[in-house]
Amino acid sequence: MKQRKICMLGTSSVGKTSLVRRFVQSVFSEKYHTTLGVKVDKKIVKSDGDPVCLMLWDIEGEDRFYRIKQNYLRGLAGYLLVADGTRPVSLDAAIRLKSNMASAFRDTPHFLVLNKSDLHDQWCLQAADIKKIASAGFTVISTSAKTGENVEQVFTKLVELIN
Amino acid sequence: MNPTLPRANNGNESAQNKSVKATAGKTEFQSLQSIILGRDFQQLQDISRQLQNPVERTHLVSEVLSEAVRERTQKDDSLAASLSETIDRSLQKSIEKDPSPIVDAIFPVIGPAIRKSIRETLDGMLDSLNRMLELGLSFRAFQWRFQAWRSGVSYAEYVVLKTLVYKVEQVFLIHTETGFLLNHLSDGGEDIKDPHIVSGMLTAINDFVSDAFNSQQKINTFRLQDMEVKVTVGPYAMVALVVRGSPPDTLGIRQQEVLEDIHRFYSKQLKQFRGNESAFEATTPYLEACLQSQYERPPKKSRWKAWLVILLLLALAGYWIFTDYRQSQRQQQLWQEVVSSITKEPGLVVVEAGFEGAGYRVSGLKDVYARDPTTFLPESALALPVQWSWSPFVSSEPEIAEKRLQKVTWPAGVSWELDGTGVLFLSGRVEQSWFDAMRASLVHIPGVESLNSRQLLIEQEPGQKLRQLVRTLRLQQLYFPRGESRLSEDDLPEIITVVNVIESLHQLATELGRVLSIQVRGHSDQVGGERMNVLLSQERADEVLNAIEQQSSLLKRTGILESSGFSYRYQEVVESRALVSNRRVDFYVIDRSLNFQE
Repeated sequence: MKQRKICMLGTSSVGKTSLVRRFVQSVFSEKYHTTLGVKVDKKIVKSDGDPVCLMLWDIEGEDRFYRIKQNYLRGLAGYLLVADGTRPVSLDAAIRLKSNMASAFRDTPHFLVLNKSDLHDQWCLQAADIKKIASAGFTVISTSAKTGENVEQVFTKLVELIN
Repeated sequence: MNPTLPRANNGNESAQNKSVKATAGKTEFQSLQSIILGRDFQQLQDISRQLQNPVERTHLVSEVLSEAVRERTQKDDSLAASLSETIDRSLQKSIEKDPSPIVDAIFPVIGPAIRKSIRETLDGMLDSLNRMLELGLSFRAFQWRFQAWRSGVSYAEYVVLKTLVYKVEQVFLIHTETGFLLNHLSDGGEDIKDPHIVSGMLTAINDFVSDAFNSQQKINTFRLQDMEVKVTVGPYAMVALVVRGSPPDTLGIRQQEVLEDIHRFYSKQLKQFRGNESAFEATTPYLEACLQSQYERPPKKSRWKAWLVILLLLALAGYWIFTDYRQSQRQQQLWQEVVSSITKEPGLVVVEAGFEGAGYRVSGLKDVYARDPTTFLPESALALPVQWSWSPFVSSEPEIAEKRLQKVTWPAGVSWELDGTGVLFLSGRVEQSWFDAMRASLVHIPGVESLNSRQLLIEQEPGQKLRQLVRTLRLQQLYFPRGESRLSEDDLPEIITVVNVIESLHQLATELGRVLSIQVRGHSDQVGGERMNVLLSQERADEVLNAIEQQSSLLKRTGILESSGFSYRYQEVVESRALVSNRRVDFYVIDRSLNFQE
């Protein structure tokens, strides 16, 4: 069975862990995020009829300078930059995170995930924000970890992109 | 020279000329080469020829092959690893083709190998038995049982924990860069979480530590109570062992060797790893070398306990077999005795006796007067149940006939005896009516062939006797000459007979409480007038009555006699006798108590 490493990146409280929890059955406690800054989960999906073992590295990993422990990114096949539509600052953080990634990782398949689509009426993205996203060349997918909207799809599409 | 030849070969001539020139040029070039390169040129040519010629090339390699193999084998195991697959296939092909050469080749080693294997198995059994005894019956065992009970774990778990030196429960082969699990082996132990995730987290922890301490070094060991995780990291892969207990240093060395072997033989796969773990399934034999364990071993000298137990068990088994055999013999003997007794018993005929299903079975014939067969079963009960199947029959054996005769209601005073030939001897005193009734039925009792009643005194009954006397009296008749009514001297004996009969009758009737009256009846023939004849009949009756009363004062006193004369007409009506015999006197008995006349 093929294995693929996928990293979840994004500032705190954007819902990375909730997205993973919605997607997989977690084995370990969430407390690893605070102690290690990372938690690994597994999900087996089908791609072109073949099973693929996705190793999901949910990385808490940004400090106030939006730096990620590059060790955690080694061997990644794809990543999801997660932002919260209700907090434009999280979008900035996502863009900064990407730019802080080593160039080797930066161009691997990825999506910008705008989470919390269930709170769409509370989204406060300005035209400037949209411009920023467009100029950064992101493919944007809006999801809701709460309702499950697009959660499966975002991972499936990423796997398709990787393979 | 033929003048036409140059013309005819005109076309070939120029080619020939070219060839000659080229040959000359080549020779010149070779001469030049040999001048410049000297002897080296010749050697180079030889080497080139040898390399191009397969036969010579093979010869060259064969010269150094064995030395090369030896040298490489001393250096590392890569040759063995490379050849293993080829050897496997060759063996497989050879066995498929004809297994006998391989069988012949390994035959000398099979015997010793089997013996060694058996010896080691026996040793292992002895050791484990010894260990079991040690752990089951010793003081330490009781102590451990108590402690296990106090700690709330099973005794087996407690013993393992106490005697375990170390045990490798899990082996992980992890891709260093991605943290992907390449292979995983488990040897019991506690259930662990998903090995893929554990492998990812192990890598994350290692990354975290490297990051946190800003070092390229990785964690080698971390401990959790009695559990230890030993990690050896290589450039492309790492081997992590989950060990319970205190492993020896040699385990770390082994772990390092395994990691090196995997790097050596799978370097290409490790370098090109893109997430497909199936390429590493073949690493299992390497990783299995890490699945080691060691338990505390009892000293060899205490094996006598195991031997003692084995001897004891053998002795017990022997005793059990002996007693079981004895018991079955005893049971068989008991059963034979039962069957033999039943066979001898009168009224029982055993047709078939034997063992069937889960018990004994007897089938045969049984007379109703025979003894109950179940009473033949011994007091020390048979181990198996007995199924009886009896069909009824009538036995003529003397013992059974006697039982039947005992059921007959015998009158008091009668005794009987049946002899071996079936003759029933009766003795004593018996009434005629009983004898008459029973005579036929006694002979019909099976086993009674005939009756012997010589010793039997058959008595008549009073009533019957009375009837007999009445019949006797009725036959007594006294005849008179024509016109006569006087008895002659010759008639006296008859009168005396009549007197005796009437006296007996009177006596018997008195005993029986009956009142009889005897009518002396006079008769006459038809000669003469009826009136005269009636008078003559009366005279004749009176004459006889007087004669009787003269002979018996008893009869005279009792007055039971009465006389009457009958007309011949009466006689005609009553019976048709010859009239000549009608000049007579006869007797009638009248039972006054029953108003009965005979």
